[in-house]
Amino acid sequence: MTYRYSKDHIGTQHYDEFFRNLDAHGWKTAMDRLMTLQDIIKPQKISMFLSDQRRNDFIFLLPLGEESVVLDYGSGWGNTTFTLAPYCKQVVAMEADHGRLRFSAAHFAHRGVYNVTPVRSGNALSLPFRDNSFDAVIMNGVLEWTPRSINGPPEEVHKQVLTEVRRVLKSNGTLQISIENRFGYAYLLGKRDHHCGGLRWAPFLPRPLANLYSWLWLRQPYRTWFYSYGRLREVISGAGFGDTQIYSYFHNHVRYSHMYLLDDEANVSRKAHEILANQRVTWKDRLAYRLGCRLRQFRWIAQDFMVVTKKN
Amino acid sequence: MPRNVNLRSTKRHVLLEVMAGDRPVCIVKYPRAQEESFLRNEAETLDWLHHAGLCTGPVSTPRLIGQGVAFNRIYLIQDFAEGEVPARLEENEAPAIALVDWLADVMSKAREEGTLTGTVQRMLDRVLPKYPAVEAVKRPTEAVAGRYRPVLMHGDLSYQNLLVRDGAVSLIDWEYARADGIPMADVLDFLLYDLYRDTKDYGAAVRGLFSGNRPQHWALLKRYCRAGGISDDDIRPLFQLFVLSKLDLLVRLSAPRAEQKAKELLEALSESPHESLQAQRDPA
Repeated sequence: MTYRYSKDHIGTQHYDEFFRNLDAHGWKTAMDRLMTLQDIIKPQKISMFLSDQRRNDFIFLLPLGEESVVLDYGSGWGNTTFTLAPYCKQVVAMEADHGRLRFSAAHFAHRGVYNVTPVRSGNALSLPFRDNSFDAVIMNGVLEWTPRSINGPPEEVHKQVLTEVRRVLKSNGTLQISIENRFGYAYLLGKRDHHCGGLRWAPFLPRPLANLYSWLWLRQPYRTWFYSYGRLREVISGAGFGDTQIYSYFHNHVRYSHMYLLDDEANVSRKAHEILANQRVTWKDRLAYRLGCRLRQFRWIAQDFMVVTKKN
Repeated sequence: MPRNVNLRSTKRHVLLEVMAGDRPVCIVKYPRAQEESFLRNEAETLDWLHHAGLCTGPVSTPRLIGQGVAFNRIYLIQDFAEGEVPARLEENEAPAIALVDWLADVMSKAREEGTLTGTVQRMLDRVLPKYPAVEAVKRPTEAVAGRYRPVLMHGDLSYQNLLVRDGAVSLIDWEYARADGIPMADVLDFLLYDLYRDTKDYGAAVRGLFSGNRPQHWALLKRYCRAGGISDDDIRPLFQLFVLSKLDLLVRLSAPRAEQKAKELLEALSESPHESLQAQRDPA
């Protein structure tokens, strides 16, 4: 199955050119030339992927220590790995895309980060690590993509992937997942879903209908599933995790100024009040926070989730 | 695993709000890189404010509960300050008056003896090589520096660092505070930021304050000066000193868009309070 990639995809030829420039002219020139690929990816986005530390502030909600060994699952260009490295003993940056992994390895070397091990993983259902290897596993915007490379019903795939992650976690180890909400208010109000070619409405349609919609428009099945608040809890507990806390972000898991516990509606109401009073918000945010808090059911329409859970 | 914790992410810090039941009880403030000296400064200042009896009342500051080191970086634990960023001053005059009176009170409890001469000289030494236009204000600022004691200065008193609830004001983020601050600087910061919210133009904010177009703001400035024993003749040189301190901060911190900010500040230096005009408009 060939999937359409989002605009942000940088092809092998661009990575090859980057590495030629890196060898010939050094990091700065290679990066400057990569930044000129504006038809593929905006320079602001490259710097965000590479060096925006604020998107990784969620790590402060994780029980990490100087002796922690952490797996950054789906490390991409290594942004989260960079943030984690000073706070941990060892970080394993695992990425399936060879170009991204080479790029991040070069970036680690350029920045002098030596407690990171880049690993290429071919099979999410058979991770190349021993049982009980990690104190924490970070899956930041990764889980929803896994059914695109693994056959089977997406929910089953998610459970299998999580079960495999559970295997490599130490006893009482922590799993972090960032994932969108199927009924996120931005999707309900017409935001395009970048996971599936920018289709509107697809996340919250009944799955068979979303699949049909995706086949008609994109000639590919709809497999990048997200879940509602309740279903996400079930999927996670079904894979053998417990003591689950779910947070949400304002605005979303890429750019946020607030993270708050969704499990407590009183807390959500207080934070919503603070956000609406002090932050620049759109009419969509205002509508969603006001309505969700009035009904005391904001958790069902929060845009993104961050899950922190423990291996049972 | 932390329980009942919310997170706030700002440019300079990561803030963890620790909850007890459904109420936040304290904030753990963790700096991003290169911010440690500022956080130490904040800790010292909050401690001093507490011992000077200035952290409670209608205008309060968070109380420092503790500090520690994690991953080679200092962090602070403070009381949780509740409130919202205030609306514009026109709609929120009572807290603004309370704040100005409090700042005058702080001025009367200076931490350091002597005059501002040394501080101003150091500022001039740093700023003059980069911004020679400051030469024009060298003499008046040196003269006024000899007449005033250093005061505790918040250093970043924008509306974003004020939280208001039920008429009570909390002043947060004291990391730019300095014991050898300039009288009137915090009040100017507060009033000019308030005007800046409307115009997004610093020069226009300065003109608005000193031209008499914003009598409410001018009245607050005069109220502070009266309470702090600042004569009308000293308003202009103290304003110039305030601009000098801002330029000094730009030189020291290499802030983003520093050149643009410096240009606006240097333009602002040419502004002056029109006393005769104010005398007609300000009945006090």
